[in-house]
Amino acid sequence: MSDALLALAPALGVAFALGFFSSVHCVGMCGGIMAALTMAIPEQAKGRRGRLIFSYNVGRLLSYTVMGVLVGLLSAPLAGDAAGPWLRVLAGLLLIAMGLYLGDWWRGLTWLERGGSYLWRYVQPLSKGLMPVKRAPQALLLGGLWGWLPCGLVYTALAYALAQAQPLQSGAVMLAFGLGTLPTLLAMGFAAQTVMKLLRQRQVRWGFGFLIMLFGVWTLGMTAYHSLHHHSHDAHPSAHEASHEHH
Amino acid sequence: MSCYHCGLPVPARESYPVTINGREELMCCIGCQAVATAIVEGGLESFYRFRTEINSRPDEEQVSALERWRVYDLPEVQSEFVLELDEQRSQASLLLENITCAACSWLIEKHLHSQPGVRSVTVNMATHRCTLVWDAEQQPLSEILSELATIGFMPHPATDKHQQDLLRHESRMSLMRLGVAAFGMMQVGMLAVYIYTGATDEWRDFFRWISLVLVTPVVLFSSWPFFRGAWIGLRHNNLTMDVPVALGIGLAYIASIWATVSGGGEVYFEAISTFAFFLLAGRYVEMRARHRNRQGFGNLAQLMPLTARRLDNDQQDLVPVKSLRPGERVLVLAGETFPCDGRVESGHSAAMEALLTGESRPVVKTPGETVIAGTLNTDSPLTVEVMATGADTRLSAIERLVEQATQEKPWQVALADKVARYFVGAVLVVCMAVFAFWWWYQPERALWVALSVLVVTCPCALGLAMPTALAAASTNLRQRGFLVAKGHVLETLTRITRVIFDKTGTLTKGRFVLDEVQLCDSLSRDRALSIGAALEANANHPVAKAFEPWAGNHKASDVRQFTAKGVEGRVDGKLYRLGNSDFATEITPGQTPPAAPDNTNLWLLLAGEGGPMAWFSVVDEVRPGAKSLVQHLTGDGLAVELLSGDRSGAVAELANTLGIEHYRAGATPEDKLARLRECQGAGDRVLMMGDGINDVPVLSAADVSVTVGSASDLAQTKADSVLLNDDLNTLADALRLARRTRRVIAQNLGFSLCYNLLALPLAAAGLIVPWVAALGMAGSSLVVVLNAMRLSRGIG
Repeated sequence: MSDALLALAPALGVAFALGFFSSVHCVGMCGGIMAALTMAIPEQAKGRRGRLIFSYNVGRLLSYTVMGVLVGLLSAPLAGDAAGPWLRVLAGLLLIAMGLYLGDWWRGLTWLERGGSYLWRYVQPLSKGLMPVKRAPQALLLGGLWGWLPCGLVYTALAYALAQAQPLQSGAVMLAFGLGTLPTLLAMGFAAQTVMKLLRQRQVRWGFGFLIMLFGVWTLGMTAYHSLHHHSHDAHPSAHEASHEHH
Repeated sequence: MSCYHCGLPVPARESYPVTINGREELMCCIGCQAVATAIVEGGLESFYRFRTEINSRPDEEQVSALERWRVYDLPEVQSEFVLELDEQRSQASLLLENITCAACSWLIEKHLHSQPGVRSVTVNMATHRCTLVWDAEQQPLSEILSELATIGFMPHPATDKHQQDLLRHESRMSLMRLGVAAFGMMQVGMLAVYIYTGATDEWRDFFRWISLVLVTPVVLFSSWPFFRGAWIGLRHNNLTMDVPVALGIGLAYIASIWATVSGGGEVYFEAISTFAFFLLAGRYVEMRARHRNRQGFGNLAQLMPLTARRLDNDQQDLVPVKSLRPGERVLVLAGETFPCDGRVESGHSAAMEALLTGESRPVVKTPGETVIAGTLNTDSPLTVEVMATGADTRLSAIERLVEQATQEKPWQVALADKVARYFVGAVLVVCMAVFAFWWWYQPERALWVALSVLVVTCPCALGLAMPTALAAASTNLRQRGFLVAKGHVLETLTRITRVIFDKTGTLTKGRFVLDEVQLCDSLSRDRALSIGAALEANANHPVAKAFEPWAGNHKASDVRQFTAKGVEGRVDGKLYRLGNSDFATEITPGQTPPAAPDNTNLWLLLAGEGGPMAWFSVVDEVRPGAKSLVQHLTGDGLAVELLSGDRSGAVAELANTLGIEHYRAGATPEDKLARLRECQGAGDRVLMMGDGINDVPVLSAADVSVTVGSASDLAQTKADSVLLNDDLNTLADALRLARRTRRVIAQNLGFSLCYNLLALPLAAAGLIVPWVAALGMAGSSLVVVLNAMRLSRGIG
């Protein structure tokens, strides 16, 4: 394991957890996509269904990664500057907003989604020709397009990626986020009704929302900690450094 | 309102409409709106028409909580689990989900008593059953059920199907939670070993992250019942055992996340998962034991077949058992279960009645004899006239009595519950003190020491000590044919000092046989018996049975029965009387009634218009085990007494045969009651055994009453317990088992108290780590349950 990757590990972990916890929100929404897309495939053709679902998700993850790399490029020039901590504060606030959104306590993230839906207007027409999905490349492309669906959760993860302020690392964070959403979405694609029922319970969503808020609070806390103790270059808000201080 | 696409709630003030299949549907968020639009524009609109899953569930959620329970107000639905006690009060038998400890049952009882319609509530911790008596005029059942649901205990009607479903569900969920915890514990444990055996800091952090991921399902899924229980308890200002457990797990989890993320401090992942695992394992094993024990009660109704072969003009119809009516005839083939209580019309067979009476041998069934619903026809087909079905059968009556006994909380159990509750409070106070001390002394250990104290001193074992023992013993006795119908019986049986047999009939079979014939006329013995048999042919007095073997040679006409005197009738044109000598000689002008040959036996005189003709002596067969029961009782130092309303010398004879020293013949019910009071006044605790007919005041005045089931109407019985089979030794068994039950309860209480008192200082001193505490708590509950289980087998 390279040092850079190791340094990134906590951020990736957070992103993964973010994806995992937030996917309870889109269980219904993305589940609908899966079901609609594979509608043309007979129930018995499990293997084919599986391939399509897999391809779709790969496409989706790719689009997330691309988004990550893009915001990384965008924020890279800002890294190390005074803007660095502010990016992390933004990420922390968004995480809290997302926790609130997930728990259905405050739906502020809707404003971000509205913004995203402008972009989606241009992307969506492209997907028309791909439906109904019959072959894997179609699914892959469609996943790549539909990754751009207006989604507050993705934007929160993006803010988090933005805070990494390096194209590769930002991309990796988004990939980790995407991977985090996989377990739920795959479980859904393969119709694990009991899991879905569990995930859709209000208490579960509260719990997950609360956890994500904790991540947000932690991000804010770490930012404050770093800006108080390190005025030096500090590109990654990682726990890695914090742990070194104990020696 | 829920999202048309994903089913989540639609926010009140925003709306995201999409036109689908020509209708405007509302979505919950921009994402769903976008997806739905894309699906529609992609030509997949029909998806919404064909899907089934997503929309069906929100509809269900939409139904308001109260609405969901409305269905239970319907009389048809209620008929399965509600019993009307009188005009105002009805009684519902419910099964409750999520009961974990004594505090839960207390919470339910307390909360429901604040409802206007509720008259009484009893919750049985061991069976999770709840008996609710309420006034339907004041409050519909649905409101009460909805209240139960709001405080977190899902009610279900206590029908057998629900019970089975609930057990299966509970068991499966527990196993899943346990499995997840076990998996988490193993994985996290391995990682903990790496961490502690000198991983470099980078690797240590990495392993911590992995541990965090692994332990999360253990906390969020496996430990969910603890959080849930704690939340419900707290919301109603109650400290259930779940509160400290949830607090411990929750705080440790958050502290560990903090340590992982910040890269410093301590992580407690392995402690959390081990702790959760042992707690869940303890609960699981305890639950299994409880379920197994309950099977003894639960399976009575399962004995019943669903269909019966109804005979209609010799045509067979397979009909639901529920539609059978008294008076109809059914055919029961060999190997089938009798669908109703009834009388055999034709056929010869045998029935296995072991499950109801404890009698292990098949009982012969010939025309005229009664069969019991739920028992098995073993040999050949029988045509049976239906006498009682459904709730009127003996099986049903027995089930209700069993239920009644389990619902009644003996005062000791109520006391133990109360003690357990105060115990929780006391422990919390102690715990706070311990926490404060450690916070001052070694702050980093304070949380864990406090948690250990809380967990190790959980009074679960205390709460389980008695109900489990009583349940196991009752089940055992029922299988032997001794039905415990009141909660206090097992306890009172141990303090009995005197046993009074209320009637000769309780010691005898009530089946008379001819013992001796003395002729006073030129009549032959056979002819005398034949005339007697003809007169008694249609009498239903038990004495009449004694003449049965000689029936058939003569036919009697103009037969009249005189209660407590005898019968009269014409045979071959001549008038005869059979009965006591005064009555029999009335038809002979100028004849003074002759004296009976002796005073010991019961003598009947046959007289014609010409004078006395023959004396018949009939004796009642002594029940099997009567003698050894009396020996056993006197051997145990109990006084044994026989009070009989019978005037004949048969009472003395019976008392002599059985070795009963104190007896009294010709006692009126008032005499019996007076004698009973006299004994009780002298300090005796009296067990009264009767047949339940005309002796209710005497029976109910006794400390424990036992009736003989075959003689009495079970549905009406007021007795504390019922002997369902013929073998009187069962009563001796019951006494022995009651004493053993008392010992087991004492052991259980002693053990759980000692355990708690010992564990407390150890834990407070910081000598017990939390997972050992969890093990101790689970272990102590298990010891108590397993010890109680011993009562479900054997007697001595």
